[in-house]
Amino acid sequence: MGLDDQTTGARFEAAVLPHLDAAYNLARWLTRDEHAAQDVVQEAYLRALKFFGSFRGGDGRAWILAIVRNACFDWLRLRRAQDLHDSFDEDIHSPSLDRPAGSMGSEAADPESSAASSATAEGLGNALAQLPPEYREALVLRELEGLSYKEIASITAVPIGTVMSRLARARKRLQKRLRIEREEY
Amino acid sequence: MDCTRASELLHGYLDNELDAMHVEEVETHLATCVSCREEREQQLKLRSLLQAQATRYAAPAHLHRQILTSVCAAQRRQQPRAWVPMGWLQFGASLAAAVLLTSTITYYSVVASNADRVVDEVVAAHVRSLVTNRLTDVESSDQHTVKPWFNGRVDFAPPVKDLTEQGFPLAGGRLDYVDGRPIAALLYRHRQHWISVFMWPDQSGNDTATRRFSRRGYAITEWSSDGLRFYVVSDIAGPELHQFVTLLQGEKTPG
Repeated sequence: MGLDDQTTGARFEAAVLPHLDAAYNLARWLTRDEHAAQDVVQEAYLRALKFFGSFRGGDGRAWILAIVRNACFDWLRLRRAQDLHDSFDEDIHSPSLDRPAGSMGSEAADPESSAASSATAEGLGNALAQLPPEYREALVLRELEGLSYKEIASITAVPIGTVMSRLARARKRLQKRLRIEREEY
Repeated sequence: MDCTRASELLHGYLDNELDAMHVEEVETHLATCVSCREEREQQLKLRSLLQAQATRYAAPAHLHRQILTSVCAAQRRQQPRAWVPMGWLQFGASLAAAVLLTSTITYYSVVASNADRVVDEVVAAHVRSLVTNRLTDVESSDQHTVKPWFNGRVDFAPPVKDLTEQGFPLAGGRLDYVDGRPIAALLYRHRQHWISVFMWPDQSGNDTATRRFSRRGYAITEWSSDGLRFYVVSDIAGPELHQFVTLLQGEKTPG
């Protein structure tokens, strides 16, 4: 029993720990918040350990990224619900008094203003951060992690065709926001 | 093929994800459609911009440690172990009355499980460095490069020996984290195998004899000398590891 558990621990470490950077990068882009990303990734790794018995070997990266991705979407849903609740409260009660200042304002900046930003890393980051999360994750997994459509499909639980159409739409939207024009190059 | 369909397939085409038939369809369309060719150029620019400029965030080091710690903690909760070496049990039984025996067991199981945890941690640190391919922070076979690298990184001066001539070239050093503190780790190579040497100040300050055993299939040697605690972890065979340890210990600390 003890030996089994130790082997499980070593297998777990070997299968998923090398992908911590990929996991964090995905969570960081999806939550758009450094601290939330850390919490979500830690939570996801604990979930992964708990359900490691269901891991049948094979692609540890796709497996852990799927868990991280689901944890991120849970977090996003929860936060959306909180945001709705907060704005409801504000409508009824005194406006904007007890809302923490600048909690999420900077990253969720006005989409229109960033469309005008130039194609710098910052402008690019802002434009990417404002895509819908499903588009954002497809782009991050493809362009930053270099994953195949098949891997992205298994992580995000959609057909391969959907991966392609999401990437197509994501890139078109991103392009629109960045207003890539020939004279900038 | 119309442009709407082509502009979607274009992405599969640029990502090398289309089958031969669709590749041909897209290429045929591109050959005749100026606006789709223009779109292809734009997409290529966007891709190189993304790959060059978009931040790939790396996990902070403390997150790595937190996850390891919580993984270890979760595992300990799953398998509470009070490991008592048989030698101590027999020693205690022959020596003491039942009451004394009980307290002896309690005492040694606390000490033993702590030592046990440290052994788990050094083995995990060795395995982790190999699977994450983070073998060294300072990569050098020169002891005079590796030793000063630890200045200001750990609060002791780790002894670094050159054992190249004896068949154990130094690969480098790195910082690791064991028993709740930063420690020095040296990495030696022997043929195709890696040997990790972990060291940190020994709280008790007593020299202890060399102890050899195995854990998770790795051969481990531990001892204390000159105020430092040493753990050597490797997958190489006993006699060779024995030779390495003897070389490392030099004239001091007979096994």
